[in-house]
Amino acid sequence: MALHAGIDTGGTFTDLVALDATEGTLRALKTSSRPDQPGRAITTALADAGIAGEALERFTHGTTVGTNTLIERTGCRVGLLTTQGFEDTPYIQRINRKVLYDLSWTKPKPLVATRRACLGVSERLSASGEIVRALDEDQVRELCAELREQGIEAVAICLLFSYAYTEHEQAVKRIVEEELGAIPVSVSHEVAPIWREYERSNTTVADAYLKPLLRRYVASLSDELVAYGMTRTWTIMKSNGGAMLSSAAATSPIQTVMSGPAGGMIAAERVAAREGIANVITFDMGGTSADVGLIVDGQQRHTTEYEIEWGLPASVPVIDIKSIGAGGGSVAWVDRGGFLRVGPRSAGAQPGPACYGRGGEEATVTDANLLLGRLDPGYFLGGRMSLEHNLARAAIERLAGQLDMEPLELAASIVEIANENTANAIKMVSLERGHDPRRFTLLGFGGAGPLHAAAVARSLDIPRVLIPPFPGVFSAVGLLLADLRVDKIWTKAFRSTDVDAGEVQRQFALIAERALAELRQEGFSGKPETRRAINMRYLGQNYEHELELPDGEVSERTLADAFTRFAEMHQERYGYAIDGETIELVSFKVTAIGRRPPVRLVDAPPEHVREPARREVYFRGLGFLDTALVHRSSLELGQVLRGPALVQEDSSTTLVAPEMTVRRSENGSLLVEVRP
Amino acid sequence: MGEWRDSEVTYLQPYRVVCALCGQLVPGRYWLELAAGEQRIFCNPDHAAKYESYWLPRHGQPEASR
Amino acid sequence: MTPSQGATDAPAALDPVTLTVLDNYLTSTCRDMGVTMMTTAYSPIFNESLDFSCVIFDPRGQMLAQAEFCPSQIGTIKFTVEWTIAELGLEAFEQGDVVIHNDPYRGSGHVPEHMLLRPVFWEGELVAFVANVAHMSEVGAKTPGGLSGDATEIFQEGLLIPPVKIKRRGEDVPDIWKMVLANHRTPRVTYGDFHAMMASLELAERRLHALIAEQGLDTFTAGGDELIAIAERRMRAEIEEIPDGVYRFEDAIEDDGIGEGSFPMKLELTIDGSEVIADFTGSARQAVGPVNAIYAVTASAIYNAFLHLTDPTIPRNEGCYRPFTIVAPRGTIVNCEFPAPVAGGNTETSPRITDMVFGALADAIPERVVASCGGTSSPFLFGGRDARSGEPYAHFHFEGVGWGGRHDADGNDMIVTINGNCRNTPVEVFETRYPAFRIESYRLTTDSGGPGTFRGGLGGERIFTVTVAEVTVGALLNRMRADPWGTLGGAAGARGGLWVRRAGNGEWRTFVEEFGTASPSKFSGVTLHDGDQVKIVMPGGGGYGDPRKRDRERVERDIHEGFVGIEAAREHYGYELERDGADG
Repeated sequence: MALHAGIDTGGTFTDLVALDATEGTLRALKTSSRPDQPGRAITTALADAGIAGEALERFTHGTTVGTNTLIERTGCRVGLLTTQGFEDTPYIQRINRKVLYDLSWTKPKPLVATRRACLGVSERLSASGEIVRALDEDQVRELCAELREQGIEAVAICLLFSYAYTEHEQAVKRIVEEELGAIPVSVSHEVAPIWREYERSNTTVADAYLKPLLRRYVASLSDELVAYGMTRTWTIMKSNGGAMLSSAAATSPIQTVMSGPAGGMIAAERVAAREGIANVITFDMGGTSADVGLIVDGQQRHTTEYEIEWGLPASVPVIDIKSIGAGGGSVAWVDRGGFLRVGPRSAGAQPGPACYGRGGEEATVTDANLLLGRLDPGYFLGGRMSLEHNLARAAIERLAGQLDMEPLELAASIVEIANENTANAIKMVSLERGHDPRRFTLLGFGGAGPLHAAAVARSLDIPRVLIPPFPGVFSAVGLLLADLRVDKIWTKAFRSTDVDAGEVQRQFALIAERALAELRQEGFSGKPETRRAINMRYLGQNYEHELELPDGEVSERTLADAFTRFAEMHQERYGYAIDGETIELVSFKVTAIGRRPPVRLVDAPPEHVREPARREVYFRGLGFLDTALVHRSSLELGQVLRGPALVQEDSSTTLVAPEMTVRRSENGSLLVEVRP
Repeated sequence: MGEWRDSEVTYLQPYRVVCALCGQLVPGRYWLELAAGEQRIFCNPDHAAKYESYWLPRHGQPEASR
Repeated sequence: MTPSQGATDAPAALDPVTLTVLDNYLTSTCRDMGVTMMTTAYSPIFNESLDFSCVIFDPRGQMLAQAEFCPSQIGTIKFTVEWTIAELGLEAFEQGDVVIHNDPYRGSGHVPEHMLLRPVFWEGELVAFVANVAHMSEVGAKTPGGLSGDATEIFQEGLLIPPVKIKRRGEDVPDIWKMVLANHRTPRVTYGDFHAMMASLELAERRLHALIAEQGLDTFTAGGDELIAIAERRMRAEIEEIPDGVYRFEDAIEDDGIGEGSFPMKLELTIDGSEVIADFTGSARQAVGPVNAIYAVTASAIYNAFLHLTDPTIPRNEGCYRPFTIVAPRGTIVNCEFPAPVAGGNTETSPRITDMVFGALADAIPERVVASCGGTSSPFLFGGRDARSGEPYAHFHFEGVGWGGRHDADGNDMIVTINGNCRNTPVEVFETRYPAFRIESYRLTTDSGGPGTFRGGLGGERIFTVTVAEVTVGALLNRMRADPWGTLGGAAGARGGLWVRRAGNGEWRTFVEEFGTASPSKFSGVTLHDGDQVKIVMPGGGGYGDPRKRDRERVERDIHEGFVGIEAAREHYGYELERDGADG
């Protein structure tokens, strides 16, 4: 028996999905996380699922440990070595503020240990790479002594213009390693070779900040797995949607910032491809937040504009996902002007929504759903947890009194506002990138996604919703499916009027070689795919668009074609192109992908199937409607069910509103037609 | 009692109409009202009222207006 | 019949959910407009610094929604749009038109800020206006970069464009384009920036059409009115919480670039129930130089102060402004007359007026006000011709300042002054785009925060070295001679300033000493050469409360981090005295 397992460890739940590679069957399990002993939670989950360590052929892990360390500020003491004169860059930041008109707002605290731990290296390069001031190696050694004295636990190195000219940074790295030995070092041209010194240095500091902890985490989990009997190497999900060897995560921890949600996007991409849908908006709604992402022409979108918190960027390639505070646990409240608001604060897992009966008294989205009849109190998490209707009602009534509203109307409003917040996030994600959401299919997953997806789609005029198999543990499914993936960037500015195709070809070849080497190091032995792209813009613009290049030698001709496509893209997205305008080429990217064999997703046999039944579900303007309640596995292939209906399964419930229809596809997905 | 008047848009002279209370340039329509013994220009009737209730008691009778 | 009786048969009140959804939709539309501008615009002040704003108006010129970009623009654009509608008349607008406008004496804030306005029609009826306003880096003023520190007339501050159509029924009006492009030093940049603004207006039009198609025109119209009414009600409720009274504060602009100074500004603030009257009677006559605020700027600065003092969740629309009457006598520094220059009114005088409101209300609402911020954008202008490409370039460079201490927290270090919210231009972007300078350092200044129970934020310092044969520079700074004041017992923050060091000469000197300019901080047209250096010092924020009452832990943390030196800690906070006392 050859088993592949994906385990997604979140703050509240640890989700496991295991594939029997010989039989092609999947099993899924949700257990409680143990933040104090994450490794133990994982081996416990494996044991609960009846998976022996010896049988594990492949194991991929998605983790929020990096993200949480950054958010909770529990990383190590970082010292920064930067170009002399710019020691305060982490404190100055970008000098703007998060919101206007708020005198209580305070600038984000930098991740460096103190202002005194930011030291200036005597060196300077110009924008075109000339040495303005030679590197003073002795001075660097003195700075190292000072860092040692300050008790620094990791060092970040970020010098001006190092994204293009790396010699000085390489030399400083060598000296630091000589002087400080075992102390981890992160170097900006390796971590994030992008221009804009603040963004690059903050990313580098964040990487260093996580390094000691990620090293320990990976080591302890490895020990735990070995003790459990697993003999193979294992992989961790990277933020870019590829997997990397666990040892690589320890040397490049900032790559794990979006490790958790990335799995969901991978799985979404596969499901969409199998259903033959090119353009998908993903909507992953859990207990505390909703993550929204885009798949355009069958591909995930990537960005390097991730932020740890507002104003603290981590500019590494991440799957482009926007998180908002709209989850099942999001709290409904009344602002000073008497407006009803939902979130971003969440009741979390403790105390959780009022209906969990753990002492929560505030009304949440889950309480509202329960009151409206949209959740089955006896079948939450497939019956492993029950919900208290009375407590939900009491919480909603308290709030209704404040607003002078009918409790049911209020519950419906809470759900609508949560949906509207999500819809606005989707607009941001799609329109910011020039895409019309109406041309997309909405893919709903996560514990709460399927319950809200159709309503969100309707408010955005999205015609169709897809609910994949295993929606409640979908991110773990993605871990099973993840390919190995390495992104490499070369930054150098050219103008379309003066670009050397030969040099571009040589540089592409060079970074492709590095990317492939890294892929092999990460354990890939098959035939890799590579993709090349150039980021370009009109000369003068500040934001680039990525244009993919066809395979083959880069020639004047290939470039000219790319420029034409850029103008077409600009016309399409912004309604204009500028004839004859010079185009600036800003950076060059190679993505190397090691494909894993495809996995066929089949619905697992449910733990507790229920007979079809009916229940009363409330819809605004219509009141309580008699609603069909069916288990997902009892839907026949091709059978069309008219709304109102609820489709239940172990980890989630799909709501089909009146005038919508739902059917099961050949591939096991549910397709909801929002406007049939 | 005052009335709304329309001011002609002209590019031939730099003189511009200003509210007697707040000092704002008044584009297009303005409110003309007798105040402190003279027909005066205001943004709107509210500013004419405040001229009486706030400005005159505080700052006294204006010198001859331009 | 009075105008307000027009809207009697309004439909029944809309439910709070519909209103929330509408408000969010309009606000997010404004935000999306901004994103489009940011991604496609050309000048760094625009795409890197985000010096622009996006707004939706109803056909009466009432602001319905705005995105939070730049407070001073949001206050002034209301006047710009009102004037445009008043001058052209509603009947002049047709589907696909775009009006351009930047004339301060017809309602704009200052010459570099250009507004583009597009009417939105639904089934042949004019139902809204969408508009944006953006700071163009080059507008054909007497010197490159727009803000001429020694201008004496508005005509020296750039090309004035009254409200005219740059697009008519969807087609460019080539004559207007030619006029504008022929008058700007960097027409290519202007062309790119205007297109970015237009793309954003088209996006907004599409979004409004989608909204009206979905919700119906009645909901949009009635909802807009109701949101305005709600905002007004809530703003009035907030004002009622401020004790009634007459509150006064005085500050002064130190000089006007022509050599005259100082220019006192007197504010008398009357809080009467839910009404506010901000009266500037008694303020200095208008200056010859460009530190004058146009009325719209003064009003905007007052709105800005109160938006900072009140609940940030109040919908940001016309209703917020209704409780305010701003009395600014014509011909004064807070309401100058044609053709006085105004460039610095918007960047420099505006934040000072906003801070004056905090100063006036310090005793009335001590827990809500802050001490003065550095109060200058430190505008430093330069331009020339790029030796590599032969293309002209021009740039408006600005800086952050320390912010004032608060009742429960220190002021922020190095943030753009309160009338803006722009980002800095990264050193790597700056040196790539503008090879005229190399930046030697960009630092915070230890001890620049005004001492207080909660100290002011730190200001900073930047040093540039000229790396080309010659470059023309100008400046329009403040707080080189006047302190960023502390409040309620707090002390002043450090002053800012501007210095020059000629190549081969070891000394920092003022521009007055070196070039004979009339002012050390406001001038234009000075030529610098290879190896010359310029140092901009950004002021710190004022302190809040008695420094001797500052927590010992905070003092120690400041010393540990290097925000306050040991000497200053001793002097202002009695740091060692206290310990000696304890030890003894």
